[in-house]
Order: sequence, then C-alpha cells, then structure tokens
Amino acid sequence: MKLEKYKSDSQVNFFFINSHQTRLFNKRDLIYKVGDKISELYVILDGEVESLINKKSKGTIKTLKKGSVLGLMDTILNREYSKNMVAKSKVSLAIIDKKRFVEKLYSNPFQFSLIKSLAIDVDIEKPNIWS
Amino acid sequence: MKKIFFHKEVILKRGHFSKSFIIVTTGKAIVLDSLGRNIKKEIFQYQSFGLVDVLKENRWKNTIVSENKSEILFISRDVLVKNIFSNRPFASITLNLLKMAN
Repeated sequence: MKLEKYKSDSQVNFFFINSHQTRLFNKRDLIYKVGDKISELYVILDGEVESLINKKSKGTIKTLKKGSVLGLMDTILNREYSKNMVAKSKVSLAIIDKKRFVEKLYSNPFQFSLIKSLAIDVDIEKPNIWS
Repeated sequence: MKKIFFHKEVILKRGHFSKSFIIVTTGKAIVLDSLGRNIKKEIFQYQSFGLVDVLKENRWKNTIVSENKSEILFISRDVLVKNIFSNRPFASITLNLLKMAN
C-alpha cells in the first residue's frame, strides 16, 4: 500500500476544514513564544515563519512555508509551545482551535496512540526541531 | 503478533526490511549501534520502536535484542497504514508528521 495516493487530498484538507478564521502577521511579529500554553494551532496560508529556540537565538532552526502546521507536535505530545515562532515575512495563518482538534484526536484511542507513538519517534529522531 | 524473546535474542536485525514496528509489552529491548557492540538506546515497557521506518519502508539501521526475557508485540505495516489512513484527519496528521521526519 503506497502512501503517495493519500498525500494530495488529506494533507491539506483536514486542517482547513477545521479552521474558521485567519490572522495576519507582519514581518518580525511574534506568533507565539516558548512556554506559552497552547490554545491554537496555525496553518501557514501565505508567507514564511521562522522557528527559533529562544529570543536570543541567532540561528534559525527552521523556516516554515505554506502548508506547515505550527504547534502540531506540541499539541500531540501535550506540552507547551516549545519554540518561538516569528513571522519572517508578512504571513497569513489559518487558526485551529486546540480543543476541537484534540477532541478529534481522542475520538479514536487506538489511532491516537499510533499517532502519538509516531510523534514521539519523530521528536526523538529530530530533537528540538519541531513545535 | 506477540512473541517472547530470551536474553540477547535478536528481535529485529539490521539490514532487514522493516515490515512491522514493535511495542515492548513486558521487559526491555536494547537498540545496538551499527557495529552491534554498544547500547544506543533502550526501549522500555509500553514504548514503541520503528514506526517511521515502517511507514517509509526502510531497512532497519540497527539490531534490536532482548534484555533478559521480554514480550514483544509486532504490528505490521498493513495494519498500521489501514488504521492511520482510515480517515482523513488522521491521514493528514500522519503525513504532516512524516514530513517532519524527513
């Protein structure tokens, strides 16, 4: 069973369907910071976002582009935001309510446990990269 | 499929295709380094190993052995894919996570 056939539809649709609002950020605006309690996830609709470990960090860990989901890893692993997310350019983000997202996750406990195991593996393989 | 392994018995062998990922149901498993001499990582009870490799259809990079007696649950790729991709929300989340693993 190849994964490719699932990619085009599923990858984007679910997150957009669950979003009811968008928000604009100007260049260098802080989207969220390390340690903040998660209330929302964000999908990049347009523009770029930089992921930084802390405010003083000079090196960018990641530059995230259209389609990336901010806060996904932190939500699945049930932790606070683990990175600072800063708008690298003017950015348009779709907002996903964390509570609704988590309800969907927990709707099937076995599937959720597989997703969580996958998230843990990814987080171990690439520590300190994803938020 | 559940299987019992005895001390130092090989659970997964380096170089073999990853057809199933594992969950340690009792005991402990050890991930060896590429030379098979040193311990790279320990897998404790209720922890899983190999999900990403199974989804990517990789070969195992490391050999995994049992420490003392252990019971291991093997979940095949077919079962994993069938469950994760059975609905769009979970398929979408999985694909996002796999993108992060690359």
